[in-house]
Amino acid sequence: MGRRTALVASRLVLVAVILAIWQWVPQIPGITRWAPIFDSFFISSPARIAAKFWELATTTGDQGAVLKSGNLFVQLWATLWATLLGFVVGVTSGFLAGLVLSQTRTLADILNPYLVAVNALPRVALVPLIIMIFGTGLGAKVVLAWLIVFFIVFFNTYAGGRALEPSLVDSCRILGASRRQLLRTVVIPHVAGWTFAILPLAMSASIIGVVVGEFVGGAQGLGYIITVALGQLEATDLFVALLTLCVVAVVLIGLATRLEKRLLHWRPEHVGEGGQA
Amino acid sequence: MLRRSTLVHAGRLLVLVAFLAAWETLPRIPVLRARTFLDPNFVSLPSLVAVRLWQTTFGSKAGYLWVHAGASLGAALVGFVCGAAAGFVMGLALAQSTVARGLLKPFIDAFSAVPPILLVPLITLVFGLGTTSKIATSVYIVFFVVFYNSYKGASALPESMTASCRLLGGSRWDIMKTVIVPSSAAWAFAAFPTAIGYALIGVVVAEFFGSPTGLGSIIITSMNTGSATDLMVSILALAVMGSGLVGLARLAEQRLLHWRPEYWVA
Repeated sequence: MGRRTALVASRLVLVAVILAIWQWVPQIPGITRWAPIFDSFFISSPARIAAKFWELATTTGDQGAVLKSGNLFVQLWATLWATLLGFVVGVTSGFLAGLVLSQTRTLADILNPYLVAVNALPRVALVPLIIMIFGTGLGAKVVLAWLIVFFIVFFNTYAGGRALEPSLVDSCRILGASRRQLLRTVVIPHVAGWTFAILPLAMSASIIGVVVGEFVGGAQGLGYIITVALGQLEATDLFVALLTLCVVAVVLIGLATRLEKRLLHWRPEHVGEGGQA
Repeated sequence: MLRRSTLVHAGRLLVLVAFLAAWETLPRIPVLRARTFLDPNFVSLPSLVAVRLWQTTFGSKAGYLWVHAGASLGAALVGFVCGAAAGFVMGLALAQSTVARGLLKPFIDAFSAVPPILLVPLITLVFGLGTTSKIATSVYIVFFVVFYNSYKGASALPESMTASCRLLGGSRWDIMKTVIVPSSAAWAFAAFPTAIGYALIGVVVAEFFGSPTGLGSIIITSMNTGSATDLMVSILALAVMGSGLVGLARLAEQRLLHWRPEYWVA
């Protein structure tokens, strides 16, 4: 047996052992007295979660307190749509603001201390404020995602604009480039590189914004389902919604990474300072 | 003609004054109040925020803000220490052992692909509404940040360095003690400012889920009771605390890292 096969086999064994512990240890009588974490009321079990997924996929009608057939897709769609809208709006506005501000030095110098202050603010803490102002609908979630994505994209784009080599600009000027030509052929491609490089992080930020919004004051979406399941102590529903959400998050971030690689195949990575949720 | 630095300073002051003036006066205009979100009930007023901030820190309700800020800070710090220790040890171990790396690294990568904030409800479900959940969230977040850095620090060493040590007669343990651990620790330290900032965010989100104490808890209570002033005050407190923590971590990093390999090799 090759080393590689042994490695893959041992990984599978590890997964199987963890699933087996999760499934059967809570069934040992009196186990919760020794290890309160092994209470299937709180941690559900792999079999129940799989059964719930199967149920949602195959049958119709009302099933359980939170997750109903078809409901999972409606909720998934609500989260996905808000995330994508917030991502697009945030990236576009962050790029434009970063581009403009990096090219106007005086304005940038004036705003600098405020930008530093805003960058230090944990954006997730603003979620309740936005919900209080804009409510719990799609609009509010897009605003939330936008708010977080905007700053991440803005700061990286701005850093890119500031890092543009003066010698490059000067050379183009000497060769007779007009301001417009310079912007179109040198500045924008350079700055866009920095924006593209931050796309995966921006996608992750968009998901965090939307989902934390749904946690705090949702009316629909996977985050909302998770909160309701938590409130009703429906562990199985919580795991089903959470696993779905994790898959959505990983796929979206993966897509953003591929987009970045595709757009940036012509240059090395550019990620600057300042990018937190 | 004005000097440029004067212009910049004047501009900064003007922006601040204009912002505060707009915030103070616009929500008082009836039309805006009725039609837009510029309503003191939503955005409060700077004067109200200033008064409340004074009350809750040193004034009549002194202690209120300190207690909650302290609860968040404590949970974030405890979680930070445990998470950093676990991440460091794990990073070091996986960099040393090929078997452990092959077995565990894919799982760590898979978990790190999911933004940790999304897992807060699960942590709350398992660990309850109290301090344990907050600390667990903080541990979880810090672990990944520190793990990747210390792993890189322990595995990105130039081959020549370990080879030289062996040539000079250093045992495996000597190399570990004098070369690998310091390098890994330096990289782990470099991750601390980021890690502590994330830890605080994690704690606050964990507090959103019905915790009785902490800044996240008063943020949610203010949202539910519609008290914009309290909300602003708690967000402000969080921002100050967050930048203070990150600043301190940066300072500590600069102080402690002067023995970084780059320095003592030369």
